[in-house]
Amino acid sequence: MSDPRTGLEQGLDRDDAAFVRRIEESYRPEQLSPSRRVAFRAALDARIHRTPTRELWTVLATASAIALALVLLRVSGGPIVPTGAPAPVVAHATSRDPGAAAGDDTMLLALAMSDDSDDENDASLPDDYAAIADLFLEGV
Amino acid sequence: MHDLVHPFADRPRVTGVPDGAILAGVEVESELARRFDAFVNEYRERAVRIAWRLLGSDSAAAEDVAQEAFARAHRGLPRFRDDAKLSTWFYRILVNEVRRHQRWSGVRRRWHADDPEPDAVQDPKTRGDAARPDPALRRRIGEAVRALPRGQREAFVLVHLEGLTIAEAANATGRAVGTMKSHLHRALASLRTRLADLAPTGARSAEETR
Repeated sequence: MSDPRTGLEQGLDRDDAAFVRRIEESYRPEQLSPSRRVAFRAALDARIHRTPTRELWTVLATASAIALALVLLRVSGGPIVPTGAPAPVVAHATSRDPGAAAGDDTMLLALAMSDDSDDENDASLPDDYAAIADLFLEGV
Repeated sequence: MHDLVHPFADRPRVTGVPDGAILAGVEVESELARRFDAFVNEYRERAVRIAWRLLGSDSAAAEDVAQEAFARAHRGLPRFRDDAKLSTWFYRILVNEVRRHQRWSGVRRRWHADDPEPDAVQDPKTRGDAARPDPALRRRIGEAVRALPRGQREAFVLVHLEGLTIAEAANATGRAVGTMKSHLHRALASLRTRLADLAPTGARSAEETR
């Protein structure tokens, strides 16, 4: 590349050029010592050769994130439950104990006591999803 | 400087480093590695210096950024095309790495408000003493340069301090030439205000008499 000195005069009058030259001379890092040069090169080589490993970690991290998302979806039930799934829990609790519908506290208790086990969710899931989820759950 | 075979010997060359026309045609891996070594040796100091100036005098960060830029250049070398100078292409990578570092350091600063200022803490073993500029003056200039908006800082450092042409600096920063000129003008005006005592005596006395 061109010499910095030649760049100083780009569109500058004499005073500006002198001002910029003063900055250029004062605002510079110390030169790398020979040992620092060796360390720099070693670090660069390590960085170059580390790249495939980093990419592998990125792939693994992405796969783990997807697996975690699937597990969370499986636990929460939410959007994966098909239309043929059991009725909502509130209705289920109400029908089990009609007299308790009078108070919110009782309803909350019924919610907490309702039978919402993993086995029930498993039964409601598509077969292919359950297989994938089990695969990831084994690894978690 | 390097015993590099230059198949385009009649083409004018700015430095002893091969340009893209050579590297793009290299298919033998060992030869590519040898030329990459030459490139690193030729541009190492300058890459660290540019990063240091753009980052506002942070030596550790500058070396880190320069290494990452070289590593990215190494990965991208097989795809490098002949339509640009290798140095210009590398400067673009370097500037992007500086920006990436600044984005992350901005995030880090929000979480670690007590982080030291750039180069406020230095390991004496890593610092050479030869031809050391006045530390106080360097710190003052560093603060003034750091205070510039990013576009102005990049334009000022690349053109006025590193000697790139405006077109080369525009290419490296991804900005239009006209924008670069505007940034240069504003950066210089801002620095002359902040560092008025560094201006030549004649210019200062002329301003004082106004």
